[in-house]
Amino acid sequence: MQQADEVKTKWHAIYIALLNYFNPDDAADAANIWLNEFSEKPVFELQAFITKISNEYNLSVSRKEIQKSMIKMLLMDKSELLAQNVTNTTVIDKINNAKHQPVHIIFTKLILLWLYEVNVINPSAAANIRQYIYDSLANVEENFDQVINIKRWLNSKGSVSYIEHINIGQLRQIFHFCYVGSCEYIGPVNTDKLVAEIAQSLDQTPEGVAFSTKNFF
Amino acid sequence: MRIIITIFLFFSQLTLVNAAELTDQLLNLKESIDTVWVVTAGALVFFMQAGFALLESGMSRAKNAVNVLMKNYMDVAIGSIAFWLIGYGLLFGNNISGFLGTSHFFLHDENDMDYSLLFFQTMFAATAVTIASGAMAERTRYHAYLIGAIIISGVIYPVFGSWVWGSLYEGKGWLAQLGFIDFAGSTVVHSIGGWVALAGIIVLGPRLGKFSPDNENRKIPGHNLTLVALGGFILWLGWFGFNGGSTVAADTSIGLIVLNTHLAAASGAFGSLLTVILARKPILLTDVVNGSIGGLVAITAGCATMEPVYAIVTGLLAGMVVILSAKILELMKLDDVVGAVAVHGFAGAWGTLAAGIFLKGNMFDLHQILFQLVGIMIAFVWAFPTAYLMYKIIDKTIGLRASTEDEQRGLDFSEHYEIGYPEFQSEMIHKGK
Repeated sequence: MQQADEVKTKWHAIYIALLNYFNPDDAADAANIWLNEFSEKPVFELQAFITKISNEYNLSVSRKEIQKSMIKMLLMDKSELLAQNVTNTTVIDKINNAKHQPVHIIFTKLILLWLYEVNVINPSAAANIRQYIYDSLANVEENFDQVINIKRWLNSKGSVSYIEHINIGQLRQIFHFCYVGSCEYIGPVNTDKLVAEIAQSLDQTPEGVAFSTKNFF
Repeated sequence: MRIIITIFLFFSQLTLVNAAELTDQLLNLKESIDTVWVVTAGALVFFMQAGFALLESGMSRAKNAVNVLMKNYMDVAIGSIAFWLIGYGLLFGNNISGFLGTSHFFLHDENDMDYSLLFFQTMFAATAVTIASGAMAERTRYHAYLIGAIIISGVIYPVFGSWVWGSLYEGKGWLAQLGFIDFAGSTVVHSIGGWVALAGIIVLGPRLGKFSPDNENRKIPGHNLTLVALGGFILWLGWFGFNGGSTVAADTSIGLIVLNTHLAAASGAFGSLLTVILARKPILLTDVVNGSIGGLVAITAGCATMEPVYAIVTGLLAGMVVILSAKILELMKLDDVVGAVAVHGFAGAWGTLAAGIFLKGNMFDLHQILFQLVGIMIAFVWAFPTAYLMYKIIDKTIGLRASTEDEQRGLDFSEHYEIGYPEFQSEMIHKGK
């Protein structure tokens, strides 16, 4: 279990390092090459992995530079990696801080990072949680447009404008549906751990200081 | 000569008077010592509540720790009053029919020994009540749970108890007349509590995410294993009072009783250890602690009536029963947070059977074994449907299950508005209430 966690964390670190040179889909594919072929090999095999992906993707960047950024990420602890995610523009790339209230920005970051992290643990679980949120919302929400907007928001990479008219009570409800879905598909222990870690990282950002994630719990 | 005879008669009269006085004094002294023993044993049984509280709280998640403690605390408080009001009368009152006690409700103006007995038995009632709290932890509404606790201590436990132990004043329980034996309550206290807990967890359903959509049983570890171990030790200690005090007299049989109790606990821990080793599973502290408690539960019925070697056999098998029955419950998708149904229900049933199998002077007697089996089944037939109906009615009226929002936030906050570990749980404090 601990070993599996360690591999996941390393995958995560390599993926974030690769995001500097690849688009998100290619970065995930390249990180999966590491997972399938190199994750059980000794550390010095990282060089062979970098050579392989540089050749396969015709990368012009120096291999030394990739290796340096990869090692930097691998040496980070898990909470620092999460903080990297929080500021990572490719995970959440459409947030415009100037236009929106901190409440909507922080909520968007919270939920999208949550689903992103679930995706790392179990890709099908993230899709199932999204589906659970739609279904639950469709059951309680009378305003159909609202549900459609939330669906679009969940599928976007941070388009806060979809939820800018939603009040705190409704945001709490979305959070709760996400929590229940997450408990169902990745288990309550993983869910509590994940939410606590993400919330802790987000509360250190300027939006988190302005509006704490605790308000959604 | 006449004078000599007169003097002889005078002194012999004096000796007779002295002997009668001495006998009275000795009887008074014995009653005093009995009282001291029964009250001390009652205090030890009371201390078991602390053991249950620590064990159950440690096996729950940090966000529900206060809720579990609150349930244990109020079990004693509410259970004691309900038992004094109605339970004691139903259990020990005049039992002409053999089915129910009909006197000694809200006990008053009685002799001193009755009060000692009431004190001791009140702790038993509290034990029967508290068994369900651990099984139903982390998703039960507090008020609804307390209503259940009152009914268990006031009705469910005493009614069955009167069938076995209801011969204190007048009459005799019908199961006792049949030949069923249960010295200190493997079935009367523990199995009854275990079957009530089983009904509770069926009505409640599992905790959020306990079983995955593809039926995988997810482990939800408790937040503090140190508390679990400490709770186990306290229960072990308290059980010397539970079984030893059931003599209701300070006599020499206590030595065998507490020795058997101790050996069964030790072999129960070993039995559970052996089972997980044979099954090639990890050796978990919670399994070993539950195994020892299973041993204690099992020996409760026969601790006064079997030789130490059989106490070891009873405990060893109880440890195995605990692990195997917990697995069966998991396969049935029943979520018992602390393993109370396995420990109290199943190990209690096994211990009651063992009391018949290993009965000193009458071992392996088929009639006795049959009486024991009847008693075990009657306990289930009484406690399980009654408790199921009770929890169903509570669920349909005021609601038994906490909402998923409350489960998310933790019952400490949603039910009590306070949390067990504020320094570490600050990010989980909900601001909306």
